[in-house]
Amino acid sequence: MDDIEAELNVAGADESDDDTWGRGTVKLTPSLLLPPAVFPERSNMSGFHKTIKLCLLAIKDAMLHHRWEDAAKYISYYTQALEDTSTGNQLMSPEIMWRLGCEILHHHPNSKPEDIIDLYERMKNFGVKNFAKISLDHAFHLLKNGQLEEAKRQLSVAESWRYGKQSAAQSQDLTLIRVYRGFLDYITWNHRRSLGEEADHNGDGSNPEMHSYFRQASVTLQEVIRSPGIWDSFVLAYVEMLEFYNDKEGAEKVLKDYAYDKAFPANPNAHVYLYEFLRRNNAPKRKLMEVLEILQALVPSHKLMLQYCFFLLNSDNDDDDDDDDYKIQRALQVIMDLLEYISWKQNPYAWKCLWDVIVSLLKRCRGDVLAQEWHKRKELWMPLHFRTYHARQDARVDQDLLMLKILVVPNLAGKDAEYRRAAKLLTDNA
Amino acid sequence: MDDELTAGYSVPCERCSAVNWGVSDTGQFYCKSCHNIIERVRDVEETEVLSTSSRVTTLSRKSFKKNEKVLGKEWMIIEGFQFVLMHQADALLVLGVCPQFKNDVLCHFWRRYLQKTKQAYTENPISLGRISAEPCQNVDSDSAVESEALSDVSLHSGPSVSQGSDLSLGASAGHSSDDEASTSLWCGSADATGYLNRRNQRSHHLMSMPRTLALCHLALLWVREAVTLADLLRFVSEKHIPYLNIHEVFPEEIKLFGKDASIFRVESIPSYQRVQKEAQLLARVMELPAFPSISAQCLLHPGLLSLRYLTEANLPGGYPGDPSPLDVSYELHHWVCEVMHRSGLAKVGALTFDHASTAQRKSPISYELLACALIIVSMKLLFRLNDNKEWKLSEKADHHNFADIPGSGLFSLAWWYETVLKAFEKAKKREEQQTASQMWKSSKAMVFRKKDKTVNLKRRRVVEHLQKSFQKLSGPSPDTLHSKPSSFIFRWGEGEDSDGPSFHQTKLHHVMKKEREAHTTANEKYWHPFLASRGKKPCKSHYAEVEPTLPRMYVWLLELFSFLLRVTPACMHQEVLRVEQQFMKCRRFKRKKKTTVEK
Repeated sequence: MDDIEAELNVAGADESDDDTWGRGTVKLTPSLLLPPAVFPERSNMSGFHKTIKLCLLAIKDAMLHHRWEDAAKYISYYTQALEDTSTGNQLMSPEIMWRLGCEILHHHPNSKPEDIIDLYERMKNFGVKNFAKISLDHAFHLLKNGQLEEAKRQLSVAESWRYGKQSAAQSQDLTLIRVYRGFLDYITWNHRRSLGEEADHNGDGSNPEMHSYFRQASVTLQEVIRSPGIWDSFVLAYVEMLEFYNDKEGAEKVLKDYAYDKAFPANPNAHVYLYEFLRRNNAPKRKLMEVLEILQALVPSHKLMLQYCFFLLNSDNDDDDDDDDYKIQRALQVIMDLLEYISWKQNPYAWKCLWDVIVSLLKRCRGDVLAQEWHKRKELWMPLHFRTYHARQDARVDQDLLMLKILVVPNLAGKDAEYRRAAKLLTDNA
Repeated sequence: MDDELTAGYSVPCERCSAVNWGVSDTGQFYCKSCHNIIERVRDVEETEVLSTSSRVTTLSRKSFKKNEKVLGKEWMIIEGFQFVLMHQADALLVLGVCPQFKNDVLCHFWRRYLQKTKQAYTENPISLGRISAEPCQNVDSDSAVESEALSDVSLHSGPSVSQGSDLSLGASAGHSSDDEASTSLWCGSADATGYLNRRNQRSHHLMSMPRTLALCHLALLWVREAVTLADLLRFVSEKHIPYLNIHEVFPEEIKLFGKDASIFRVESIPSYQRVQKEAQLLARVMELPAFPSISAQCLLHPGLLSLRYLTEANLPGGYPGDPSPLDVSYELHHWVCEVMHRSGLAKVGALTFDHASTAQRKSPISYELLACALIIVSMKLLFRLNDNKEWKLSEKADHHNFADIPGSGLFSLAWWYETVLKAFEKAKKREEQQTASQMWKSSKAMVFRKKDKTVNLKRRRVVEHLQKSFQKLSGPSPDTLHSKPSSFIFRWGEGEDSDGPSFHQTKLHHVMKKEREAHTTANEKYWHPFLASRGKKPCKSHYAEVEPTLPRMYVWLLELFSFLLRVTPACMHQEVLRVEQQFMKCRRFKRKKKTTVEK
């Protein structure tokens, strides 16, 4: 709704020079918490615009209270806004009508599916400005009801639709429409594949019909996911198809481009997908760790960090001691970073991992690394993990966790730490 | 629009409901708005397809023009306004206005207006746009007589003339050739361009929709009907008087489109002040003499009008019972009249509408505003309304009422406030709902520009379709209880649809005291904001600044009365200040002490 409201604020000046009766009687107290008023209060607002404004407020009120019949009543009054002659309102009223109307119809107990389709069709062809957006929404609606073929038809109609010059917003809509059409081809392909697998177990992908879907989908997907943006599900779909047809290099290239292209917005998922792909294809550990290193910088709290720690601890090349030391130190940093996030605070696996790191450090007599790291984090970690209160809480949640932390604490905070004493007391009592 | 090719096929498109068919090269029909191809094929001979198929979208101007001519005869904007006035007058007659109103007053006013603005009944009418200034050929003797009759304003003796669709204006103006008409502008009337010219509008005081109401208001004032301007506007917004979508009542021959539509289009009901200003202007233009004087028996007199608003606001003494002479000073109405007399506002000269009076030019008379202001001033006299004294007095009344002394109870302001507040909030909400459900657009779409015609008609169809489909899903329509025209908004007393208990019979003994055989108010002080000297009256827009400093009770009272009259609280406040000003002025003359004035 936000973008509509922003649009609505530029509502053009009305042409009527008539005074309104009771001017300025409706006083709205400005509040910073509320979004800006849809129709800003104007002293020379015509009676018609006042009606529209009150109508919108009534619709909003009815919708918030789930009074769908009232909302339908008021939106039937609101329809006259479509005939507004001022240019600013001509642009926004169809959009309001479409969005609110669909929302009301979706929730109304007595509405029929035909009503919704009808509203989509009417509003789509009401003006030219919203055609693409409404078509896309229409397709989503059809998909929600399981009408895949019909949705695909809608999207192809919308794709071939042209009217005048394309504005930036419109071309964005058209890109979305294209990519979703490609995605629907993929869904059909996927469906065929599962059918084929059921039918004959040797499913070698030789089905020509299936291949044509693959071609259709890949042409659009390949093109769209090259432009900067977040295309997660589309990339996954494309990669899945490439993998199915054994185009490993192609898939890897797509994923690498998606993850490493600087023009794209930072997207942790891109690295996760790449990691998963490499993992699936038994890539060397070095490669996997490279991906995880970048992911660590982006999302230190990602669950793959446990895996990363594991890799760091168990690297293969034993010949280089310095490198090993560095890796263990790095593992300590990674796991401690992870534990600083609330969601990991009481996770026994994470603590187990930390314990493993500490053990291997002690094994190598690198207590100094531990002390150094602890010194940096002491001020945060004491109140975050090692208070008496935490001991009590951990005991309630998980005994294993308590045990692990009892093991960890003396190595970090010293033997006489508050947590340890409390934990001891608790375990003794138990 | 290529009617020749589509042969007038006018079934709306299934997909977008537009009627905008084109024919493709293969003779297949397609919708030009959404490119939907339908199964209809143009059935013509092969040769014809060959000859016309290269350009399907050529607009056949000839047939269109012919069509337009078929649509209606040439008409003048003034004729349109005459229809508007006629319908408004008929509606007022239905509402119970005396029959002379239409034929003897409004009709004469209208003619006088036309004559004075030189639009008709004159030797050389003004030329508006396409009207050539041909000397008028048929100033028939009948209308000449009438205009004479008007000039000495014997308004009750003029021959009654029926206003109907067979109207013929005194000055029939020649029209220029049709060729020019079709190229320069697109409208049904003959003189719309002249009407839309701002300079013409100003210099000739041309008619406009708000001015029809102003004219009705003047005529109502002349016959001294009890329909005040506030009532008139309320009836308009409640659709008892036609004003919105007026073109629906136009006869078949008068087709409203293009430029005409923007003259008759209504997107607001004009404000009280606007109509009042227009009425003054019209009275000046028409050079009307002083209006019949408002006597104390006339329903427009603030004395009687205030009774009506006392009843409406559920205040005591509003009910015209038969109070014994002893009791008379315990009635609020008595105090209203007292304030009115002592401020010199009851004088005939001050109450008679006269556009020539300089005092009225500065502050036009509005009887209903004056009556309400008098009530507010009386309330201030009796209760002080400083957010303190009135509650103390009300406590006194409550004590008395609980003590169960026989006779009707005392007026408890707190209880009254509670009661009225509830009804007021309800009425405000109802009003808001009514505004939200007001339909401004007509079922006959207005087309302002030729190129928008198909778009507008398509929009209309879509709107109608959507309205139908949503109405099916909507709950019961709001109660039509208040659709009957009534002078009153609230109903007090017993009964099912009552807004609350009635306070009309309560007494005001507790706010009075006896002093040297005369009753006077127990409240000894009176407050008022700074009263600027005459001529330098504070601007209306200052109310917003002053409002936070005023007592809440007073502000609430202003809101209540301004809601009843559909004016702004600022306007009501202004009127109260005016009454106070007058009151102080007269007091200074008389040096008669009644209340101590606290500054």
